[in-house]
Amino acid sequence: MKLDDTDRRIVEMLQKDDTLSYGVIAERLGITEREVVERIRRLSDTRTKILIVDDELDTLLPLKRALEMEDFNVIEAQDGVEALEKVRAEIPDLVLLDLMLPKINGFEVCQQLKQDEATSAIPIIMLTAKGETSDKVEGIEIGADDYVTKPFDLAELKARIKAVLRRTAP
Amino acid sequence: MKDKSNNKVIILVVCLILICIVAFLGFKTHREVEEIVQEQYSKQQLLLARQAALGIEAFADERVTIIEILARDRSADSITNITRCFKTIYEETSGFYSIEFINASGVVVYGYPEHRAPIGYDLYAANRSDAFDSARDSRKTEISSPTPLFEGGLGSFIWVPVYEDEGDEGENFRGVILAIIQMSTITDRFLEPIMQDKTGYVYMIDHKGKSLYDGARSEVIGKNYIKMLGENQSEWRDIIEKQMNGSEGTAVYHKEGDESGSESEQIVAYAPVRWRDQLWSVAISVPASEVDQLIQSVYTKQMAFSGIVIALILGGSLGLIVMFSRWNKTLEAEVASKTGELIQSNKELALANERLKELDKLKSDFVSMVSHELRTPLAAMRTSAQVLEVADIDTETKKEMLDIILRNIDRLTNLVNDLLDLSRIESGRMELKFERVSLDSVIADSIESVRQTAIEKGIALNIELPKDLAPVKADREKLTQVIINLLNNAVKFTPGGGEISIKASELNGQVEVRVSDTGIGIPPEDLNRVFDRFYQVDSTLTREAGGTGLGLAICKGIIEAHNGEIWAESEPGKGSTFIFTLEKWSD
Repeated sequence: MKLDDTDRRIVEMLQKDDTLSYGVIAERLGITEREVVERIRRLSDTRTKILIVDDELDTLLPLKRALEMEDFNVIEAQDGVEALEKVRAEIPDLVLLDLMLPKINGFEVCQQLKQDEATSAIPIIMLTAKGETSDKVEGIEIGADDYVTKPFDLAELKARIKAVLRRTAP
Repeated sequence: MKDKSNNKVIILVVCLILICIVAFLGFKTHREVEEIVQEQYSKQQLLLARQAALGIEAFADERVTIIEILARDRSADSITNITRCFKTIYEETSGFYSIEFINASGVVVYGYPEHRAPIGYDLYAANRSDAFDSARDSRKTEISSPTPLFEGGLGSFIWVPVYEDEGDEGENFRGVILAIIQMSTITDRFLEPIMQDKTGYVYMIDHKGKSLYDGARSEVIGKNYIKMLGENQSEWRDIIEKQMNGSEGTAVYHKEGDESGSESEQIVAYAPVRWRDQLWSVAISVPASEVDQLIQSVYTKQMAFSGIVIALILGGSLGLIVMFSRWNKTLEAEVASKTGELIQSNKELALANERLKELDKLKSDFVSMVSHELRTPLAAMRTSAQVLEVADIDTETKKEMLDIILRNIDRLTNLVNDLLDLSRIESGRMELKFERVSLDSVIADSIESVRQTAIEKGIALNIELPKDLAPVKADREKLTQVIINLLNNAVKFTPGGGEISIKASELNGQVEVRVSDTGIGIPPEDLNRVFDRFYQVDSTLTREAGGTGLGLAICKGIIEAHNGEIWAESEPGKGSTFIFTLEKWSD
């Protein structure tokens, strides 16, 4: 799990004095108390965090349930823009990225993440209902770490997720 | 410019030189032709003259011979017997003027025809006995120069002496047979016909230059030409003198014009007549202009011929040129039109090709899209099913998963239905049950199916139908499908707070239905393509609104199967209107 500056300062403050209230921390850092709560909740969650990006809720939901059962911390996004925001805010350990997305399509999302230094290390597995080889090649070329065609076998997907995480672990 | 004007001068000079050469050659040729024709003409005239001269010789000589035979044969007969033959001879041989017998003492004793015989005429008394004496003394036929007759005109006197052979005692002179041939008899027969219907004239002179015949001037007959001719007519005088010498030939002399004083060239062909000791000369005189006329007539004919030939050639060439140029023009026009057609068909082919490429792309997009649309619900179902597989999931999640599976089965079913509809439409196998359909009920039904979604999105629904709207001829189910599709689209593309209205009106015997929204609109270039299958896919993977992209293609197919039309109008950003027409129901 990666920490940004705000996270580190919260951690430093709590290490010095673990009785500090959330309100004091929020006041010191110039952010809302709610964000502090959220950050501490996130910092205290040590599970591997996976972002699922898919506009089809019916695809997203069962996948989320399945991964949660595997004890992953699952967050979700339903379009390209939301996906970029979530990645930058949450810094997930892995992104499952659908290709056909409203607003910004999966290829572009992948490209932007890989070009940005802050996010380029996050592994991306592309999920798509389009089985064309050309799509696969393009996905790999712009930096996707794996490519899975829908419909997929859940066990296989889990195996691939673990493989990618192992490969990209620091 | 200077070169051009120089060229012109050179061309002009060359032309002038050529014209001069042609003119010179023409003139020279003309002279040669003139000479040749004149020579030939003269020869022909000479032949004519010679023929006439020979004719006269033969004719006259024959007459003399007859009389001589008579004189010799009957020399011993009585005078009565001799003279008896005169009638026979006169009648059997034409040409004699009269035949007379003059006794030894020089008195005319008999003659035939009798009215022409001066019986009793004494030559000695009249002192005209020269020829008589000459014939008696020479014992040979004596022919005197033509002399005027009592009756007028000239006559040739043939004196044939008659001697009776008495053996040793010598010969007894019995008298002279005098035969007279009238000159006009000879000239009528031999000279006059020559110049009939011709220009020019014939004349005949004796060896002294006396005129024996003159076809042009009968008044000069008997007169001497030499005396008549003036000093300035030496050329003709020379000819006359040659004639008097008994030579033959042709010559040209310049004749003083009779009336205008102008000079004219005469061609004269002359030939001698030798009759015993008589020497005459026949001449044919023709104006040289006759030759010119001859040449001219030849030229005229030649010119006419050349003219016709040239005219024919030029006309033909012109015709050919016109024909060819027309042909050429026709060909050019044809080529131009063919080229135009080719260019046109090329353009059409290029367009068709582009359209085909587009269709091909649409098709592969279609396949890709179908693949996506099939896989997505399958993926949802598969994952849900695998989640359900796990034993210890709570009831809530179980229900969630089952709902997902059921929903996606419906979704797949819809997609399969859409695909089947489309396939039926495209293969023309869609079955329509036409009936009398009242639009307001169909529209009310359709509205119901989208009302819930519209209310959720905060979209107002307006219906504006005239009360007396005519019923239409349609398949109720399919028509409902069309309207629901259009309304679904409108709802999908209209943001919250927008408005969807559905109107209908009668127009030109048809019913027009308009479904308008206040949505995102359609770019003008895509207005026709929105009815293509999966138009929505376009080139980008972005899907703003979801859906199969088959709805409008199905609508178009259904409306066209109803003999109606469907089209879209739009102002991007302000909304779109989908309009379709249907036939009115008729009983």
